[in-house]
This record gives sequence, structure tokens and C-alpha cells, in this order.
Amino acid sequence: MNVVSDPTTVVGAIAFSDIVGFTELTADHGDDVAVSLVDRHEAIVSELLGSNGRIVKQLGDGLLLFFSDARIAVDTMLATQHRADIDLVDEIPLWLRSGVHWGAPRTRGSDLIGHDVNLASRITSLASPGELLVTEALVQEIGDRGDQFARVGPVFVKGVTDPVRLWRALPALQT
Amino acid sequence: MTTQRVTVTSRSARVSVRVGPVDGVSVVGASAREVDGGLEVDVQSRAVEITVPIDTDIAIGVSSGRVDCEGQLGAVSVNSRSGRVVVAEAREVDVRTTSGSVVVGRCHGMCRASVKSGTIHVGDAGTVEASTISGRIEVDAADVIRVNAVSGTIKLGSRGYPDIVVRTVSGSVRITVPSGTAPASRISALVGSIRSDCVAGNDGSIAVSTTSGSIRVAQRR
Repeated sequence: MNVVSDPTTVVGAIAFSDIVGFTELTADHGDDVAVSLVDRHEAIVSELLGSNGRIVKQLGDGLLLFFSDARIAVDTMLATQHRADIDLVDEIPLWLRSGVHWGAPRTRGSDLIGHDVNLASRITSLASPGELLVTEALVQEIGDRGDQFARVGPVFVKGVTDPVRLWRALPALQT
Repeated sequence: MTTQRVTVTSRSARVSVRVGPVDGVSVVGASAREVDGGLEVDVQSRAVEITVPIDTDIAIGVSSGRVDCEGQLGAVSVNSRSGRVVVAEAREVDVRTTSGSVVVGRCHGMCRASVKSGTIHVGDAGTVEASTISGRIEVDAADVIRVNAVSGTIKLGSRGYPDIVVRTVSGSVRITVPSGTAPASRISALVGSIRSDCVAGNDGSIAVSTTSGSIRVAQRR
């Protein structure tokens, strides 16, 4: 984790991974299926996480993660989606949507808090099943747009005044 | 101004884009500035009309408000939370909206569309990739179709031999193929009904899986 001058601030890639349609799936198929989906989601992420990243916390059907390396964050999230995409949990597909933003959140114990965390969460909600959306800050941190990301364009997200420029990570990065 | 990429941001304005016999871009109802080789249009008014040359790439971000794109555009992307998005013709399309509706008349290449609870209608496209949580997806004709839906209603048509993959959890799926087509089919429903008018063959492929929905494959009469 890269600690900057303020000891309560860290700089890195803030990632969210959510189960698509979790509310509907729970309503239609019951709580046992919901628990199985959440367990499988966490198991896949845990298996693919290297030493560079960590699960910050679980938020219902979603996971908040933090990586100190932007490229590793993207690779890990794409690999997670790829793994989930071929998985079935109790005959229910496990579709994930993900978002990654490069920023400087505050720490509170092991938790992360701040505008950059909120922004990462907001962009994740815009992703389609199996899609990883990233902010321009993340793309700039990696420094190579051409063959790794496709421009999505500007979006307005709740709680943020200015439009956010988004990119879609291309699945060619899948490992 | 001469540019082949236009970016438009607007909170709630109606955005109209038209292709005209012009060399550059004309903007009425908003300010525009050249940025990094493209044109950025920031709309503060209630409506903006933008006229662009044929094949211009355009990216539009709106919170709400109707978006109309007329004429033959290049790569079009629209992101909105609500409102109706219409793209008459484009080389590529990427539209995502939370609760709005999406209408794409003709897309020569890849047409991506995603809604959470709204509707998607694609008239004619090369490849369609569409997804919804609980909305409605309709494709009249496309060469390749990929659909993911948690629930909702899916109606798809193939132009020639189908290349269709649909994955749903619940809801209904109806696929129509040209008369006499005998596709290779992999259709499965854990709980639900399956009905197909097609005999097995090698005229393209149809793969549909659902957990508890209904699947119908019919031939066009």
C-alpha cells in the first residue's frame, strides 16, 4: 500500500465487484441461493487476489477491494469476471459487474472512505454483466489506452457534479 | 471547425444530432471547444442541436433527457440514467441507460446496449450484445446476437443463419429464424417450457439457457 504524506490517506486502485441482479435473484430463488452466490463470489476473488490486493470489506452482494497497482487491479477484476462467467451456483449464473478508480481514499482502520470510494461504487453500478468500467484516472495511471481500453464516454453519476469519463477494459487482458 | 469526434455532456437537455452536408460541426444552443483533437460540447440550456459530417464519432453523457441521433454516424456512445435514446444509423453503437429506452435503427458493426429496467429495440445490426436486469430486448435482425438477462422479455430475429447465444435466469425468450432454417441448437431450461419449430441441422447455431424461463424458437412465415 502506498502511503502518502498524510498517514490516513492511501493512493491506489479502488475496485468494486457486484453480483448482477442480486435483488431479483434473491426474490426469485430464495435466500439460500443468495448466500451461495455471495460465498462463491468471495471465493473466486480470494483465489485470484495476489499480494498486491486485498478485500477491504463485503457490502451485501458486493466486494470493495484495494490494490496498490492499477494494472494488477484491472487484470484481477477481469480474471474474476471471466472465472465467474463460466460458473453456475445452484444452476444460477454468477454474473459480475466491476468498476475500478484510481484515487486517494482515507483509511479508517482497515476500511476505506471518501469521494474516490463513492465514485468507484457509482461507476460499478453502470457496468453491464461481465463488464469492467474504469475511470480516466485509472487509465492515465496505467498509461496505455489504445489496446487495453475502449472509450465509453462521459457519464453523470449520483452525487458527483461533473461528468465522469469512463473506459471499458477490454477482455483481451483476461489471463 | 473540423473534427471527427464530438463529446456532449448535459444534465437534462434534449440532445439532437443530425448529419448534414457540412465539413465541420455546427452547434446551436450550447458552447463548444476544441480539446485534444476533438470537440467538447457542454450543454447548459434546455436543448442543443448539433450538425456533424457523415461518419462522425460522438459520445453523449446525459443525466436525463431525450437523445436523438439522425443520419449516418460513426461510433456512437450514449450514457444516460433515464430518457429515450434513438440512434438511427451508425457504424458502432454503445448505449447504456438505467431506466430509459433505447432504439437503434441500423448499426453496421457492433451494437452494445444495456438497460436495467427499460427497453432496447435494435432494427438491424451486424453484432448485438445486449443486457438487462428486468427490461425488454428486441432485435429484428442481426448476424450475431449475445444477450444476458436476469429476467425480462427477449425477442430476437436472425437475418440469415442464426448465431445466437442467450442466457437468462427467468423471463421469456422468443427467437425467430428464416423459414426452412435448421440450426444446431443447445436449448436448456432447468424449470420452464421449451418449444422449437426447427429441426436440428447445421444452419447456424442457437444456444439458449434459462433457469426458470420459457423459450420459443419459431420459423418466420
